[in-house]
Amino acid sequence: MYQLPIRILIAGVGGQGNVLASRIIGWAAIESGYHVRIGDVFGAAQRGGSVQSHITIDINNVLPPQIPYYKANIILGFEPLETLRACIKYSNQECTVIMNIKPVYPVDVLTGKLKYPNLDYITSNISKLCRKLWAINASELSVKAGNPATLNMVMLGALAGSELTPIEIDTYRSSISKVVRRLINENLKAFKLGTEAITT
Amino acid sequence: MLDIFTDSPGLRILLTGNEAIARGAIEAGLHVASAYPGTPSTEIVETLAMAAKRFNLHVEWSVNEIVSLEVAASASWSGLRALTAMKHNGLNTVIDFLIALSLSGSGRGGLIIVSADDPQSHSSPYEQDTRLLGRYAEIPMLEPSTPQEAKDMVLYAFKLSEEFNLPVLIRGYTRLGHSSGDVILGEIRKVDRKAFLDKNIFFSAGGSGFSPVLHMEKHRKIYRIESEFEKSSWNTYIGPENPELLIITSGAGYTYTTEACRILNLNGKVGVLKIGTLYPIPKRLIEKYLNITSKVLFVEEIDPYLEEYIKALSADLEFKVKFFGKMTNHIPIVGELNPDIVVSSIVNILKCSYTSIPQSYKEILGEISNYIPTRSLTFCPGCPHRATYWCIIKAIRRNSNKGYVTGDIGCYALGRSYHGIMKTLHCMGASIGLASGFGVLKRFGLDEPIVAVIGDSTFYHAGIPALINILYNGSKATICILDNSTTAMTGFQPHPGSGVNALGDEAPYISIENIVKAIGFRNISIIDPFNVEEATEAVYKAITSGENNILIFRRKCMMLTVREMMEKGLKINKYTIDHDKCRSKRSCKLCLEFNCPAIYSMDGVTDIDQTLCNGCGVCAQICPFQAIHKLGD
Repeated sequence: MYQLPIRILIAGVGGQGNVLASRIIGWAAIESGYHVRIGDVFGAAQRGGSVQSHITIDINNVLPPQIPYYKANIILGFEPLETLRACIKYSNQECTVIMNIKPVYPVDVLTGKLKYPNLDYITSNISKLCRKLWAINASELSVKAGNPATLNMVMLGALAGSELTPIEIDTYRSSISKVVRRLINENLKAFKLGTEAITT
Repeated sequence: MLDIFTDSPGLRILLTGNEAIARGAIEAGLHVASAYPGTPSTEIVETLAMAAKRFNLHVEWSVNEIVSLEVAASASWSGLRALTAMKHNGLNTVIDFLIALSLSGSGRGGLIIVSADDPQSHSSPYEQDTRLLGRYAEIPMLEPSTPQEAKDMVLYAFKLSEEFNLPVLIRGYTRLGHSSGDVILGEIRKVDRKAFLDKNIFFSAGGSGFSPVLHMEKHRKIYRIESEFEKSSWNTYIGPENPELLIITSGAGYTYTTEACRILNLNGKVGVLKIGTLYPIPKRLIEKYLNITSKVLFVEEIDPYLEEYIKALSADLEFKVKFFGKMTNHIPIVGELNPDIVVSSIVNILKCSYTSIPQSYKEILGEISNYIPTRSLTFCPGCPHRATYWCIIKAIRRNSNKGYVTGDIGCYALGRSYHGIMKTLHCMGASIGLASGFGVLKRFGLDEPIVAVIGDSTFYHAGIPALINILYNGSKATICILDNSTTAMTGFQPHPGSGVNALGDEAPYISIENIVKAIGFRNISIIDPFNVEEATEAVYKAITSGENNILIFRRKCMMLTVREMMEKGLKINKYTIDHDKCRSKRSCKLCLEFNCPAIYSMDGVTDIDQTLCNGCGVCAQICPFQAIHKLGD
């Protein structure tokens, strides 16, 4: 069965909805009878910057807001470059990585000051750093679900579908209904598309 | 939908540390809450504002932190329960009143001050340790490690404050307020109290002659609180009877220590003493635990507070203990902690072996290039501040690069990385105070025009006294007030110029131009930063006039504008580039220099990302070849 604690890291860019996704995982963990601690870095300073949510699920109630280096069980990458950044610090040979393949370019790349590494380079490196990499086009699926803002729900659906967490898919779904305020149908559809992307 | 103020004792829900503090205050029967927004503390009072009507509270965004503490103290003196929250910088602005308050007492009502530190300075001008100021003010101080403790400590803090007639300081921090955890809810108590003014009491710090009497009284209280803390359940010990190493820790440090001990599997060797009562630290408890070991490591964030305090307490002991911590370089003296810092510190002290990853994995890591482009922060697409800075830069360039810009605290502080235009950045209001100082140095040979840049919320907070100083003392400067009608940096809280209050109800609009007019300034212009030519001309005229000028750059924050347009179902007029007219292939990069995230260059071709463009139209005015136009035009 699942070996506790389960440590999940969400890596992305400010504005991609990592905080909402982490909260849904948190609610689902509580619903499933666990203790949970989530460390987010957010606030004005993170607009367009790298953001991470560190989630620890356990039966202990004193849990840290940061995951130790090389100790993530699952890395949920909303953006390729941010996934690689997180993998270098937090992945390990047993870690599973679920990654959205659509890049969000840093400003310095847009203005031509820096180069964005090519996607093959990123995926091959991540593959070396983990046990399994699932690379999915979550951005495309979010558009299919009716709104690009549902990217986080696609990724959450993929996490639920991976069955790597001790949380039932229905528990994730009920947590979405609890936490999400807008576009509930689109969000649930996005979640389903994410699950299907992993299970089929 | 979830309701964090549900009256369901025993229910376990997910709360951020800040929400947990707000929930604790509601459970304790709070009456008044006040704050000036400051990351990472903002959501405490923001959450209470949402509960204000339901629980009949007075909740306000005060003009600055000292006023917010004064508002809260008035309530506690009237017998009500009050809470004020601030970031660590805010505590600096309240310290004068706070020390006086610690002498006069907080009255019959409970008074809680939450001061949230930002180790690593994630979203602050600098990192600073609240605990030193708490000890300086000599008021009881607590620090939670988890959201659950944060909620529960608020209830205890109200009782403590009322029992000892002292304000209680709770140390928050980024990894508490902006982290979440499961919290078991308690009962919501209705504390039905009527505000009552006891005119027999003279609330004061004592003044000449009497202040030492009050100071002595405060020390007696602190002495009594210390004996209460000796038995406090906020201080816990987990570990063997005689650990090889005792770790004394608090706050987030406790959770990192617990994780480190789990990773190292050291539970038989290491004992962990968590201190939740930061001031006064219970001396006998410390003595008891120093007596069970010969080595002590302090794990705490920012300054060596526990380390210095406990080392001082141990000076009177008859036995010797070896101490490790920030003062011995076993824990970094700056920045925030994490589990790995604690792991390596323990490994170092106990000389045990630990490998975090196998050698083969290390080799793979070593082969991977560490080239990962960073994401530098920038203004949002369509941000009026970017346009304002562009105009200021152009005006200064036109003036043979003469012009010196002093900066201030807010989103526009990003001006420091916008073509390096901003030259100073310190604290709320400093832009104008510094301009006032630079503006009197002409006789000593300083002959550059001085330009202060300050936001609207910061102007109300701390800009006005310095502005009076400029006029009164004959200084000369151009003051740019960047009015985006909100406190954008901390998440769009309203301020006196917003026309609404913390509850979202209509409130009097306090006009910036009326204030500067009343002070006596004559050259006052209201400028639209999206009108590049006019705005640049206005700045140029001001900095070459040799006079005092007030330039109010007025444009609502683009994030709010976009939000309002979406609510009304309006479409944003996006912009596009006509590639026949664009000279980007012939090395024109002017629109890229504007540094808007929506404008990008791929393989030498410049374009506008339609998903990001918010339609400010400034780039269209900047392009010398009229190659940028509205989509569809």
